[in-house]
Amino acid sequence: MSLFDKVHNYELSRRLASSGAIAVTGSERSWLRLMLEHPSASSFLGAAALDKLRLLLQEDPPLQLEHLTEKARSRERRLFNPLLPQLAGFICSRSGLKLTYEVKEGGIRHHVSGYPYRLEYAMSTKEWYLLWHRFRGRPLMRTRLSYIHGAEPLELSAGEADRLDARIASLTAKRRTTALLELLPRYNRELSRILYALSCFGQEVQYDSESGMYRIEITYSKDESGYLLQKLRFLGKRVRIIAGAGLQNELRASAMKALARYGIAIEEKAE
Amino acid sequence: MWVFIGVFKIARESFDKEIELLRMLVLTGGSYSRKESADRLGISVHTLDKALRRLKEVAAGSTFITSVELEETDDSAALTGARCSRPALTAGLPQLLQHRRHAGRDPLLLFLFRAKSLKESETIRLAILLEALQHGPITASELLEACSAAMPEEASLPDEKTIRSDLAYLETAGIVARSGQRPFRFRLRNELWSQLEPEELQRLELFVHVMAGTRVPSVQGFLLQDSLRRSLGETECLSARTGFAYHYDCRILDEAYLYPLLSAIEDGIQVTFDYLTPKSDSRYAARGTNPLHARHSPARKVTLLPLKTIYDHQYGRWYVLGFNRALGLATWRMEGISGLERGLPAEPDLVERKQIQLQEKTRTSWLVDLGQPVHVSVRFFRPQGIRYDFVRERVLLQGQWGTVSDEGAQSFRFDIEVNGTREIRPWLRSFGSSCEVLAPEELRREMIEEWKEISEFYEPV
Repeated sequence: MSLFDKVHNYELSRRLASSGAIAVTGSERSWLRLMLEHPSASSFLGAAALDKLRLLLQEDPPLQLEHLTEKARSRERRLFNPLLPQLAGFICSRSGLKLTYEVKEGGIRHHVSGYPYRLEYAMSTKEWYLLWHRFRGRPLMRTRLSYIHGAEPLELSAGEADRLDARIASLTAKRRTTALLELLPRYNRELSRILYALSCFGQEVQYDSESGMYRIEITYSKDESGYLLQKLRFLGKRVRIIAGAGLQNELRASAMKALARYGIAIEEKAE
Repeated sequence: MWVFIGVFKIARESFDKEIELLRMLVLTGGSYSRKESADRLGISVHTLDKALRRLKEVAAGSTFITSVELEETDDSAALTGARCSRPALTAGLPQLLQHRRHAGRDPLLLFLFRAKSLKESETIRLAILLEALQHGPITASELLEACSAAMPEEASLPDEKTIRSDLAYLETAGIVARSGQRPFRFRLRNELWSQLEPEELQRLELFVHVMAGTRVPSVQGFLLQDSLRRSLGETECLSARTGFAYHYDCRILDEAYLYPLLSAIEDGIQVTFDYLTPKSDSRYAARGTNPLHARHSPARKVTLLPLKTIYDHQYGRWYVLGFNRALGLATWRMEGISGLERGLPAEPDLVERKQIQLQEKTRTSWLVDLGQPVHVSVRFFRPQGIRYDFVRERVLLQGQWGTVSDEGAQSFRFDIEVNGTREIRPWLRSFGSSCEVLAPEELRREMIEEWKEISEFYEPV
């Protein structure tokens, strides 16, 4: 089987899109058939639709993957959350909402008004999060779906969703920051691995062909600095942060504390 | 393989060059000059420009690119880098990719799989046939009639043989099914969107989005999702602003090699390919079809009995593992592969024996290390003053087959049998000071050395 099928050709696809015609191949159905075996399928689709789909796809053999092994995969949990379709529906219809949710410090906030703008599944924690703009207090919120007790729609006045989207975009842009990393030349041969590891962030590589030095500029949101630090510790001594004082300090503190675990104290030089 | 140059076109269209070009663009963001890029790909600047132009055309033609995006990037000067301060690949396709990335359109590189060449007449004909099939089952001669009526004046009219061969293709691809007695009626396999209630279809689209986004392989799922979205209309899609943090955009590229490899494994057949280690400066081994322009290829020719494929979630990379006479059981990164071809069948006994050996060897590989297992023992420290123990949570999620045992309020132990310590080390290090390696002694020493080096990097000046 080849993934490059004639029917997916971009020109044909564009023609079909404009006439409203749809064509799905047997291998796409085989993929779906395999996915229907996932324990969360019935929660996503509902038992009746799942039965219907199984019947519709009975002629299509499920995709065979016994020769594929996945390594370093996080254990999966909560791929489905009962609030997911409802919240996705609010976002899709650009509705506001009133949210009741638990907070980290303990306690529950009731009927807090806001505007939901994105649902995000974190591949690292295997949790769903709702990104929403709160109308009072700190505006940009990221709340775990498992902490949400309930949501009700809240009607927004005409043009309000557009205004909020613009405000969210500007707030998000303000939180964006960059760090400049340098790849130690003795690890140039590992460039591909390092770029792969960092490819989940926006990255731009600067290559100086004279010195053969690579510099990598990472663009990330300030809320992601914890995750970026984790990645930098993951890469260890291969990359050095050359611009981004906050990250440099954090990494130095990490190294000092780690050494202390092994009973090694490094004297702080006077600044 | 020079596939877009008509006279040199070979029988099977290959996308190796396009895959490597996209990988390079996404990973390095177009940081190399055109000359450097062409050198790394082992092709001429002219061929590079051609491939870029072609890919941009495909990307722009894919369903979910809006006209705004096209306007923003449709600048013929940009393609040649004429407006850039340095002659780098910083415009045209890279710009379009960056724009799509910011817009959060998933997945970034799906358009690659829309790159299969199709003659214009065939495109028009297949579009007409598929449109005619949307209205209900229909016979081949009715389709011929519909096609003859709808073909544009300047195009030559198809004959019955052509229509029958189109139908044979559509049937093999599973797009249509034939039913009844002669003359057969051809029915579009449209049950997914015709038999479900609108709300069920919405939930299906969300399900497909989540499954394609969270597991491998996923290209088929993304293609299916594209069709479901079209059927629903973009404003009705529940997945509209639902995404995943974080994605490895390049992971879908190597699915191009996955299926041929899986089928060779299933059939017990050897494969051959040109292999460039990802540590090399070259990213692609062009195979010139013109002997006058033959150049020395940096790639190594590999003949392999493939036995297993592995996807590594830690980096988002694909591997093929197999048996090679010179190396025994070994591992190859799919991104280093080009010119993949099926070879001769292997002895079934050998296949079975090697399968069992490899199974045993990969049982305790953190990723793909086939070396000797060692016992790694680690103490993890719980976070202080925080109710939620995110360290333990992460170890439980990512620690694969390792075992966790409590040893008090401050810390817990993690023990694992793993092939060598090289692959698990970055993961352990990513925990920073929340992790202390207890055994083996050598790994403990290496961790100390590495933390010392890192602390020296950032010594206050």
